[in-house]
Formats: sequence, C-alpha cells, structure tokens
Amino acid sequence: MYLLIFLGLIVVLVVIIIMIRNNIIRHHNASIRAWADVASFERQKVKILDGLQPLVEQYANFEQGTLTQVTELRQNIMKLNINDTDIGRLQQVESLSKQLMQSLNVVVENYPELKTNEIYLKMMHEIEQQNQNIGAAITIYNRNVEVFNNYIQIFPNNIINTATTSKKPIRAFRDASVTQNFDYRPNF
Amino acid sequence: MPIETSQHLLALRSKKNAQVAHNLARLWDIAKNSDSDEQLLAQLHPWGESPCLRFDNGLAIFIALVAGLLLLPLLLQPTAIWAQLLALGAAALLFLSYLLYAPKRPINEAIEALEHSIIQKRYALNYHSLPSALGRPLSTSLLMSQLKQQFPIFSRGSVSNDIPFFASSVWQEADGKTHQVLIFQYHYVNELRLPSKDGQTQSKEIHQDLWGVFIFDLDHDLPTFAVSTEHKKLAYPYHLEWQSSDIQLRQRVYMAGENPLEMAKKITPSFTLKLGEFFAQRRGEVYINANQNMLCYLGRDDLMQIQQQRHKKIDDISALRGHLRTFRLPKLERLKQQLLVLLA
Repeated sequence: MYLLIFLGLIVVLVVIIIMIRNNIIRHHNASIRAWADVASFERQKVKILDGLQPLVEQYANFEQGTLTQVTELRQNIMKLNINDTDIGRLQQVESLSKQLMQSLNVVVENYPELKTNEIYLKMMHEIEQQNQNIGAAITIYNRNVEVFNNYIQIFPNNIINTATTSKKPIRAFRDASVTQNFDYRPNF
Repeated sequence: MPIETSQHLLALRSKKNAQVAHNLARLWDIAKNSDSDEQLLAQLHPWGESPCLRFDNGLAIFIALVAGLLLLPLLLQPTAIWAQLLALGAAALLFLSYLLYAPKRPINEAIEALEHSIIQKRYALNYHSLPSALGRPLSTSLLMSQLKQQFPIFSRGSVSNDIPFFASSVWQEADGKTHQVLIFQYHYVNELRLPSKDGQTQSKEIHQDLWGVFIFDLDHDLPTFAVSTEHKKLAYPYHLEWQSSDIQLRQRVYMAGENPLEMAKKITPSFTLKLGEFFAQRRGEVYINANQNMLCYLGRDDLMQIQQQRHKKIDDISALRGHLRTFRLPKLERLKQQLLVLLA
C-alpha cells in the first residue's frame, strides 16, 4: 500500500516537472515569437521607407540630413536580428525612427506642398500605423519576457529550469533615449 | 363651523390632489414628447408650480379609522340593534373612504414611463426594432435564423433558443465614426435528466440567459475569428485554433478562426494588446464575421440591468429628477466603452 502511495507521489512529481518544463519551453518560444514580431514589423517599415525615399529626394538639395537618416534607419533595420533578441540594435532603430519622424515633420513645415501630397500623406499614415504596431509588439515582447523570466526564476521552477532546459532570463527592451532624460534611476 | 371647516379641508384636499393629477399629466407629456434625456431633465427643473407627487389620503384614512371604531360595538354586543346600525354606518363610511382614497398606481406608472423614456433616449434605444443594416425580417424567428447563419452560437439550448428582447442603437466612436448595433438577450433552455427516487428518470429544464451586442458595418480589416473565455472549442467557421503572441492573453482566452494566414496578417500587435485589455476587464465571447463585417459579443452580464432601483420614496418632482439623473445602465455603458476602444 505504502509502495503504491510512494509510486503515485513519484508519478505526480514527474508529471508536475514535465508540465513546468513544457511551460518554460512554451513561454520561451512565445518570447521568441514576440521578438520576431517586433523585428518583422521593423522590416515592414523598410518597405515604406523605400517608397518614401524618392519622394524626399525631390527636396534633397535642402534636406540632405533627412535623406541620410532614412538610409541609416533602413540599414539598421536590415541589420536587426530576427532570430535572436538584439535589444541594443532595436534601441538604435527606435531612436533613429523617432529622429526621422521629427525631421519629416520639419520637412513638411518647410515644404507645405508636401502636406497636400497624397502619396506622402499615405506613407506617413502607414509609418504611423507601423510605429504603433511596433510599439505594441515591443509591449507584448516585454510582457512575455516578464512572464518568462518570472516563470524560470520562481521556486521550484528555477531548479527544474537549471536541471532540464538551462534557459537564461531574457533582457527586456528599455527606451534609453527616454530614460536618459530622467533624474530618477531605479536601483535594479 | 365644523361643516365650514370640513368643506374647507375637502376643498383644499381636492385642490392638492388635482395639482398632483395635473403634475402627473405633465409628466406623461414630458415622457412622450422629450427628444433627449437632457431635455427631459431640463423640463423637470424648474417645475414652476407645486412639485408635490403624493396624493393626500388623510381624510380617507381618517374616515376608515372612524368606521373601524364604529364596528367595535358590534363585537361587544352583536345582537343589539344600535350596534348593527352603527356597523351599517361603518360600512357606508368604509365605502366613502374607498371612494376618496387616491391610489399610488398612477404616480408609479408615470415614473415608470419616465424611466423607460429616459433610458430609451439616453442610450438611443429602439426597442424591438432592427438596425437598417439588417433589413426588416418579419419575425424574431426569422431574425434568429438570419443571425444563426452568420454566427454559430445560438444553438446552446437543446429545448429552445430564443431572442426575447432586442433593441437597436447607434454607437459613436471618439472620432465621430458611427456603428449600428443590436443589443439582445439570448435565452436558451436545456433539459437535464436526473434519476428520481423511484428509479424513474426525471427531466428538469435549465433556463439560462446571455446578453450580447451585434455591431454592424465594421470597417476594420479584421479576419473571421473568435475569442472566448468560456469555451475551448468553437463551431465552424471558428474551428482552427490560433495562439496569440501575448502569453497573458493566451492564458486568459481561447482564440480560433477560419484562415490562419489571414489571422497572422490581420491580428496586429496593436489589436492583440486591445484584446488583452478587453478580456482583462471582462469575461465573454467576441466573434468577428469578416464576410458580413459584423462583430458579436456574448456575455453573462445583464446589459439592461438598471444601476439604481427606486429605494427611496419619490414624493416630489425634485426627488424624481434626482432619481432619473442617476438612472442608468452601467453594464451596457461599460461594454459600449470597452467595445469602442477595441474597435478604435
């Protein structure tokens, strides 16, 4: 009888370990997918930038800086690693993207005819939507990272993780350009 | 002198009650002719004359009490003629009291009409009428079959599946975009067979209600898919399971659709976040039919549940106005706001 209870407990324990291990894998894969979403939405922005470039080139004599920013942003997005988290590059891409949007706003102020250009307006709308989706994808990525990191760090999951999958905590995305303006620095 | 006083009291009473009756007539008129809830409330203040909403029944009650006293001798000396005569008089007085008594029912009916009217106007509800987007089916059963074709969710009852209540309305987004909607109650009955004590099977009917909203003419580029906190398997066309990229949403809901490619393309991270926010605040099911540009929400919350019941007595127009001002459908308001955020 005691042997049966003991064996039953062992079976329950093994099932729990398998469930935790599988959830670690699931959460890790979901985080990878969320990262891939971020990267692929950034890549999609390249297509819009490809269309925007010739349009801005018409005003290139005056706004050479904007054109350079478009090229730089394109290059950085293309270098973004889709398969593995590349937070440093993503921070750079996001920072360049913000700078470009600011420059484009200045261009529009200088060339009012751009404001009525349908192609330009359509592209700006698409970029805006794309940026919105990138923002949302980053939020989802960070949420997944939080869930995953919590899952592998809490007891007894940490033991099972070390023994079976050895997954390391993933670094969440932080917007360095925004936080550098704060006096407050969190102590973690 | 006592006759003069009585006449004076009677005249005063009838004048006061006439004023209440006049107030009621005005209230019925306001309930019928107001164009908006604001207008309805504005017409209640200032009232301009006596705002009383309580019939004076003091005399009727007094006469009834006197009649009660006159009946007492009959209990003490039932055979005495004088006691019997007094009892006859008491019966006449009771009849008079009955004639003089003004019941509260007309007041309650007027208040109910105003409540009905303000809810209708506040939420732009057209009871038992369909939005123009749906055409004009001849009957509820026809409406049912039309909606059943579009959403396979109205066959939960093994005995009956009805939509006993529906009302159309128009919802407006912050940017001015409008949506035609149909708020409905879905009532279904299932039969449960239980073994009884004598070995026979006994059947018991289980009645359940769900409340929902159809939103028509969606202009969002969304695929045919469904999100549910209640079920882990849905009927065609919501038969292919879909995993959201968000772990938290995945843990909370079951998602399924018709075409995985379309879902991958059109369920954007922005929309995923909005879904996460929506289902963090409520339980239920959201179905999107991309072919018909329709959305259907179904949940357990009674959308027509009134926030404030009439706990206090409403004795004057001012109390009535205060009551109507806070007379709302909070569950419908919350759902409307959450669905509009989801679709924004």
